[in-house]
Amino acid sequence: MKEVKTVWRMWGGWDIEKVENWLEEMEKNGWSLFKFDFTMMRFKFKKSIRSKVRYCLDYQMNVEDNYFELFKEDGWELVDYTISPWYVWRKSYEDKRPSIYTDTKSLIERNNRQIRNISIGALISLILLYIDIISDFYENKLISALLILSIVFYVYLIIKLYQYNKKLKQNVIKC
Amino acid sequence: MDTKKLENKYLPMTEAAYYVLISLNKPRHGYGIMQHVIDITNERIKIGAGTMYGNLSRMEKEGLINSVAEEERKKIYEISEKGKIVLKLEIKRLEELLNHGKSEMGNSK
Repeated sequence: MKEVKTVWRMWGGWDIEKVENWLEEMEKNGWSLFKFDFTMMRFKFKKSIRSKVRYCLDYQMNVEDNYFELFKEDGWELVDYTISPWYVWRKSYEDKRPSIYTDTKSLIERNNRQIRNISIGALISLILLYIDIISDFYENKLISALLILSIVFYVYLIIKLYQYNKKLKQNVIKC
Repeated sequence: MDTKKLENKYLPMTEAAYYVLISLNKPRHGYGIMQHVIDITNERIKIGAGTMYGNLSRMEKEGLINSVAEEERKKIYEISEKGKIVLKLEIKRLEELLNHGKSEMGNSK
């Protein structure tokens, strides 16, 4: 019999490390991730042998074929991917814990790709809100409220990601 | 492009960027570069796949490297003329650091 467990987890781009560690912990306890949906909040695990596996989350837009080829050659396995820009990679290891990103600059670049996309989302909401205000296009006040809410949410995400980048930058200056 | 502009834009390089550029003095694909860097640094520097992909895409966009062929979904790159100029500037900068270190600290062990 195949045992399957579904876990919902809220997370943001600034606590990727926590998610990665959690997935690693699950694997250590014999639960192996095999699916997540486009919301990126529903994780499905299946019972497996306890093993030591490193999980890494990547955020990419329009990757080329050589992206997948490079990761595969380096021994990474793609868990599952959907239409979202998130890619979950994993690799078993023994002593030295591997990572897909080995310097701070590339981590900051990954975060900046998120910031760019979220900013586009915020801008679109802002334009829709503007159209709504000047033309009374929707009439329904609920839509304006939702737009305002989404802008607040986007701004919150951007601030959190900026703070994460700031922390990364501070850590890189060792002396 | 004048030297000052290139220096401001690309220097100092990260270790990964530096090693990618020097490795591409010969045509190589991403994983080939990773192996080469492990070899020449005695495993001190292992460039992760994500960091490698990021560097290669950025450098190709900036024209520091060119993609010269594609084999089995792997892109093969080589350093460009612009890349060589930037790399030489970085080597000059590193040499200066090293020489100052040696001349100032030369007497003490």
